[in-house]
Amino acid sequence: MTITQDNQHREWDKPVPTPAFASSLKAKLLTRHAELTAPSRRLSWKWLIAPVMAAVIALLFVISPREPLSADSFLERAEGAVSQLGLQEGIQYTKKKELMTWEENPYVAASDSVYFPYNVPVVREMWIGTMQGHPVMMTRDSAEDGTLLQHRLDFYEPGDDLMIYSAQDYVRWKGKPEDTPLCMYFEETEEEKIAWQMMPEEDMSGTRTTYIPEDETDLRFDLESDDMKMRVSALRELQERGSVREVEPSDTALPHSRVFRSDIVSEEIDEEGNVTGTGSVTGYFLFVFDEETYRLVRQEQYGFRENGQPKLWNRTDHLEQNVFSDAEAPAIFDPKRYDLQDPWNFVPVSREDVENDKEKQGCYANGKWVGANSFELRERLGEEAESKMLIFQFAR
Amino acid sequence: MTYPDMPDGELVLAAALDPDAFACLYDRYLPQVFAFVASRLPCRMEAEDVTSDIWMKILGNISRFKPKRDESVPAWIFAIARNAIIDAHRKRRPYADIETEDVVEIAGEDERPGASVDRRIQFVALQAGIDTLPDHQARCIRLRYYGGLRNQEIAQVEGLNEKTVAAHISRGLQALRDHASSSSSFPLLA
Repeated sequence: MTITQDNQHREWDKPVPTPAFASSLKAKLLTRHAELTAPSRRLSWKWLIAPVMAAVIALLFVISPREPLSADSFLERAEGAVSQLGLQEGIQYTKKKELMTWEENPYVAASDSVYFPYNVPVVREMWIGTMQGHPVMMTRDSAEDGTLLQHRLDFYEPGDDLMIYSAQDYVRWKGKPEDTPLCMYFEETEEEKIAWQMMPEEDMSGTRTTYIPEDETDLRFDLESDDMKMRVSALRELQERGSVREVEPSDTALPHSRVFRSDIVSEEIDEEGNVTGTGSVTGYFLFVFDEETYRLVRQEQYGFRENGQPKLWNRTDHLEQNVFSDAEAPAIFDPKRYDLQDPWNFVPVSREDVENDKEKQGCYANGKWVGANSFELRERLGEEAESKMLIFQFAR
Repeated sequence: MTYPDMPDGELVLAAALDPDAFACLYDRYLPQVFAFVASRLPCRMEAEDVTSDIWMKILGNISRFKPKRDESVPAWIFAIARNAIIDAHRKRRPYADIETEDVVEIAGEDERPGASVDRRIQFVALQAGIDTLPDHQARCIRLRYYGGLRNQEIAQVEGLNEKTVAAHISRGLQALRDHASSSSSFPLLA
């Protein structure tokens, strides 16, 4: 093949399928096509299998032990998964115990961490620790092409009390400057910067640095600020475009807030055929419009309870009472069944909303949403629009 | 109008109902899809598995195909292909671990003994080179030169505008040339 200086030689030597493969696949497809276009047969098959599957799933719920995943067991599994990915060989990694505490950084308390060199294919870098009491894996890898989501699923098993995020998710959500070689960065307003920074690329074996706000009172939220006005304006624009819609208002525990569901994300994915695989389908976003509610949300993310659990969990009862009632809470979000103990798992949605998503329940992985759709959201709605909004994304 | 003469959009609608139309769509796009997949997954077995998955997904979704404004059929197909490759990519073997005989067949006019092997070696080396590019450049180049998509269609698949795609391809090619000039193993870059 030749790539000429003027790029005029457009034809590259291309891989070609073998005739045997092409004809074999064609035959399979046509057989499947015949099955799909035989509605009565397909219907009868589904009706037969559905009750069996329902019974099996119900049985699994009954007999499955649901023990929270400890950070240690998560790490053990993570290392196993990394090994399975073929990345273990030649990788030098270090574990660092107790790097941070909640007092040092309210967002991230690292009980353990594993670093991988930047030049490792696929997974370039990984941080494993806990966030809000949950084992968390964060990674900066080729997230743009979606492999990140796959890694999430590698580590996730239904029933895990586990949230997995990526540094790039945060980058996208929070609008980190693109030229900053940091892995993770929180920046929710101009006045507020809480950053947990991993080391720059040129110093991957070194230690990370942490930016801690000197005074929490700096976490101001000015509704009259230009920044906030832009957020609201952007949201209205998105509504007008049909990109987001407000979920039916519920008796939310968070006054002056609205929960929106990004339908366009799921529609896009459906039409592109990405109905299996990543688990990133639909996003719910809590938009907060007043200082009091903002403070309420933020304050609950700080500190520890006396028993060592994050203070955030103190909100549980309040949210349970106000966000979910027996009548409203859809089955898959039933706090009693899934033992959802933190508000990040609560999504005030109507039963209808979930009914419409039934076919994607597998993506929710046992009632907890394991994907992130910030990439899709950014692509669909525009990076600029997203960066102007204050978004608390609820994982479930 | 016969299926082979039918425009893409009409063919897809027909293919949802008629297996002959689907077979025609398959014949039309299999070579491009396979080339695109194999550019990311040079091992023949992996490429065939993923290609099969892609076509099964196309078949499974074809009745729901509703082109958005200006979206072309190739863009729809390659969006599915892209997602399938993403799913498979984490399991991909490193290039160095792929035996030459396991690499996909590479089309070429040179039929001399050994030419086929040379093409495979060069192909794998080129893919390794492309993998050194930033992701967005690599994706655009592969969609352009292996998928055979036009910049407008690449823009639809990638959610970019057309000028950005052109820029990614141009910069990617330049980077490949630079890479070639510093790498003895890199093939035939003028």
